[in-house]
Formats: sequence, structure tokens, C-alpha cells
Amino acid sequence: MIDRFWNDAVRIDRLPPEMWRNLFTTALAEVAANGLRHAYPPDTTRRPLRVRLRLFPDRVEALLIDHGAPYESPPSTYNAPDHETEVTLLPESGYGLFIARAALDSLRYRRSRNGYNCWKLVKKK
Amino acid sequence: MTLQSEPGDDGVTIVRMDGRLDLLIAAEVKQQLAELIASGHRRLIFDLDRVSVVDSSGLGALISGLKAARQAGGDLRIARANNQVRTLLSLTMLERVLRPYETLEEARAGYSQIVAD
Repeated sequence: MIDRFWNDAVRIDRLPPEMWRNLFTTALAEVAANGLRHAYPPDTTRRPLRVRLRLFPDRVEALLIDHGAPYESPPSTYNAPDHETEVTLLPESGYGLFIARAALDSLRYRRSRNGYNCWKLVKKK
Repeated sequence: MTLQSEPGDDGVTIVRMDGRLDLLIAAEVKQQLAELIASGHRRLIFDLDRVSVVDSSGLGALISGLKAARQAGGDLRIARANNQVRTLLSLTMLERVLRPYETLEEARAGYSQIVAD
């Protein structure tokens, strides 16, 4: 889906280099995976997720909407390591939203009154 | 086995896999790395040449392997990572602890220095 979006987008607009697109794609995949993991129990076979991608003159936006449980996990507490960091203390999970935030200009979450989760991703050109 | 491992005469084992190292396979890769290290392959080079994409779960599996190898007195290095993987390492600043080596030879050279020291 994202490949088709980029193919269409480059036909009608001048986009920043491929690296910029890859960052947005990476963020989208991480937010989608994170959202689905938290919204639906692990054994759920059907985990619907609606994705809307929009191209603006100055940015791209993605809206990810699911009808699962509200997202209540704390914000990522990952601290990037420095050269002194003890390797054995590094986390083995929890990198997803950190990566998404680092790759985007903004990442917002809200729970709608009609009971869905909405993640909004924005990356400026 | 998702991972193919190739032990060398110098005590360094090259580990390879194909395709995506992502959430669908990360737990298995983590498990297989742990088993390799437990069976005495403490010095690993993970050759990422045929890995197209790594996501945060895949990164977690690599970090898990790195930790297990270090705890066993060895190390896990990565070589021939593509731009996507390098970007991920840079965004998380994990390149500081999991330096991407250009070639297998470079990754291997570091190991012989440790042995020489």
C-alpha cells in the first residue's frame, strides 16, 4: 500500500529524496505494529487497522485507526546509549515508538469518544 | 533454522539469514542466537548482506544476541548492513554499541585484535 502511495505521490509532486520516504515508511510500520500489538489480544485472528495516507504541499500525513483497546502504555522510556553504557543493560524491546518519533516531525495519539484509537504521523518535506 | 551459521577456524562464527528481520521472525532469531552462543559460539558476525529490512523487533533480537555474547565473554558484530539498517541504528544511536562493519573482513579484524591483546 505504501509503495503505491509513493508511486502516485512522485507522479504528482516533487518529493524529498528516497531516504525521507524510507523514514516515513519505517515510522508507519513501527506505529502500526505497536498499535496492533497493544490494541488487540495476541490470539486475535482479525485485527483491523485503517490507514489513511495524505500528501500535502508541505508534508505527508498518515492516520492509523483501530477499534481495539485504548493505548495505555507509558511513553517510550528508552534512553539512547552513550559510549559508557553497559551493553548488558540495553533493552531488548520498546524501540518502536522511539524510532517512529525520531523519524517523524510529530506523532500523536488520541482515543476518540466513539471508541477508536487514532495515531497521527506527520513528516514535513 | 532461520539462521545459517558457519564456524571458522579462527573461532569466529558467521551467521546469515535471508529476507526481513522483523516482528514475525525476531523471537526465533533471538532464540537461535542464544542457542548458538550457549553451544560455545561466542564470537559472532551477523552478515546482513541478504537481510532487506530490520525493524524494531529485529533490532531487539540483535541486541539480545549482543548481550548474550558479551555475557559469555564474546561479542556479536554486524557486517554489510544496508542503508535502512544503518538508519535504524543511527536513529536509536545503537551504532555506538553495535557498530556496522562494511565488510566481513573488517568485522573479523577486530576480533583478531582482541585475541592479540
